[in-house]
Amino acid sequence: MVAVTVTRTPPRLGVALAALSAAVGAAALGLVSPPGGGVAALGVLLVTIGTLVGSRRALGAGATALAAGVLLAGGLSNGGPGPLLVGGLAAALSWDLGEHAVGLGEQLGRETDATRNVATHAAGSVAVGAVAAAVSFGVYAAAAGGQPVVALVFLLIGAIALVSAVR
Amino acid sequence: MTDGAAGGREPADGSTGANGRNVDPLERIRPRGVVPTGRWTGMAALALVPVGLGVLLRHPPLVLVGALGVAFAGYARGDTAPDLDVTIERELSDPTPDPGDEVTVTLRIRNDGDGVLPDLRAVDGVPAALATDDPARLGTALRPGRTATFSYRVTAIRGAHEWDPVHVLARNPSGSRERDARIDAEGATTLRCAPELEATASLPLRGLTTVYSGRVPTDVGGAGIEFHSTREYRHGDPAKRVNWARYARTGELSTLEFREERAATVVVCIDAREGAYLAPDPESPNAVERSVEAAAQAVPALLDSGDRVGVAAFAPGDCRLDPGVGDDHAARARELLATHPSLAPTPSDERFLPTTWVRRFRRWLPADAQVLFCTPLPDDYAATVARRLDAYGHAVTVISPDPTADDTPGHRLAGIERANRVSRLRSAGIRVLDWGEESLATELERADARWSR
Repeated sequence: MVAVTVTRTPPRLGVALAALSAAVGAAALGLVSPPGGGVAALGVLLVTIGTLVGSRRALGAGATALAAGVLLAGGLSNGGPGPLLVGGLAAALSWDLGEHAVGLGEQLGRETDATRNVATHAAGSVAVGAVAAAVSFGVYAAAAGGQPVVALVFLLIGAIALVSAVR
Repeated sequence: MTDGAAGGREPADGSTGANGRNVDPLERIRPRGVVPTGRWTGMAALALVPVGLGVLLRHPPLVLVGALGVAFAGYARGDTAPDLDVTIERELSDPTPDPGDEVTVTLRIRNDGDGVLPDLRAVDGVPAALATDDPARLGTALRPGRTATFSYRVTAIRGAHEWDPVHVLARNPSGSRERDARIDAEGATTLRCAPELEATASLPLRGLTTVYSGRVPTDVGGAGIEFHSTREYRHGDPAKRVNWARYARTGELSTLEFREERAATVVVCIDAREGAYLAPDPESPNAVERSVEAAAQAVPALLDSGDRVGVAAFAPGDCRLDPGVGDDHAARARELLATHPSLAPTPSDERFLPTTWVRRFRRWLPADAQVLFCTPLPDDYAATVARRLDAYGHAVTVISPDPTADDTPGHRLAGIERANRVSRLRSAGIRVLDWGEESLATELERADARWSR
């Protein structure tokens, strides 16, 4: 009697979500900055390959490439807060959703029905990211103008300290 | 004492990568309780890179990206993995199926706690011997009070199969911490599959046990068929046993005595050592299954013909049933053949000393017992045991299911070695039934014709 082994590759929904978020980020960056968009496109490819195969390394490289695209867009082409935030959010989400899918593939396998799990996790991450992006955009719109950059940095350091205290 | 050569390929018995057994195929040792998964490691540090770059280049939007990263880092540091306050219930569509039936197993997980379980993963502990096409796993999220259900189908095979506890994993919303637990499921945890003892009336076992068709004539005078002696007439002897010829000649009454017939005592011995679990390919039943099948057919046929039948297993664990008769005894034999751990569908890894077993078996065997030895003859030691028992005065007949394949030279060699063992046993005067692809009844009829010549 042979017992069946599950195929330890990520579920399809997880792969789709990770690739989608990466693609959206790359598109947003590409609109503002060609070099940033180019690097981000490479990131999309790596994320897709990484989640299809179940390799955290490729996925991490893809997310890093997306983040590098964000930095390039901000540094070289002086992108505005909107595209940069979308790009950053895409980088974080593609890592989060992709790694979640890879973990599901290792533990449960492709044949298992884990749709609810993937959907719930994606909803949570997207919510957190969207709220954070909205808040930071709001802060920027309200506070920036004449304020020096350093003030923003201090605001951020205060936020970090608060967050560390919560633990 | 054994030459180590085994006939046929070894079956994949589910001990590697069996469904539901390991979360990680590399058998990682996981600590119980809450474990950090490390997926968000370094997020806070990474988030500061755009901040630094933004300050250097005097570009505020980059600092915002840093804020986003910090938010995710804070999300990751958040709460710990939720308590696994769940109730699991398992239901089998048929807890006592026949071999080959499909049984649907349904698992229900209910969240008894107050909080939501945002990331719940469950792997059912399917017994190693049962084969299933579906993954017995689930990934879901559960609100308090709700129940998640999943089901899968297994094909039943002979034996008592115990389910292992369900391996449950719960993570916090960001996935940074994971709680690992094994929870016993309520409801059914055992599947008992006992094959029917079919007493096919056409099973020609009469030629198998003794030369005298299942009944052993003794040297004791009494009721019977074959003439033995005469004695003086006693008042009350039945009229048909009176020697009327002598009375007509001499006028004296005397009674005829015949050879008293006793039923034979047969012990069916199944070779269930680890080396006997052989099959020609992963889909065929292994030799121990076939031996048990042969025993399951032989026992009722022998009991029907009035013989006393006992069962034993050449394997670790004390598998022995003293010879007896009757319906109770048949039921006990059926239970033993179906559920005794020595005859499990997969080999156990208990230590086994064959010579000790042979000694104990000889002592237990009744003096006039014959032995029906069911073995695939995987090594020379099985043949040695058969000849030794025969030499001690117990007539031995060997039923040997053929587990050899012939696709590679190594397999063919193993097949030839087995054939040599069979012919050596036959030339030593022991009857061997080489059971290949045909049904047992057909092989027995052919053998019967051969042996009664």
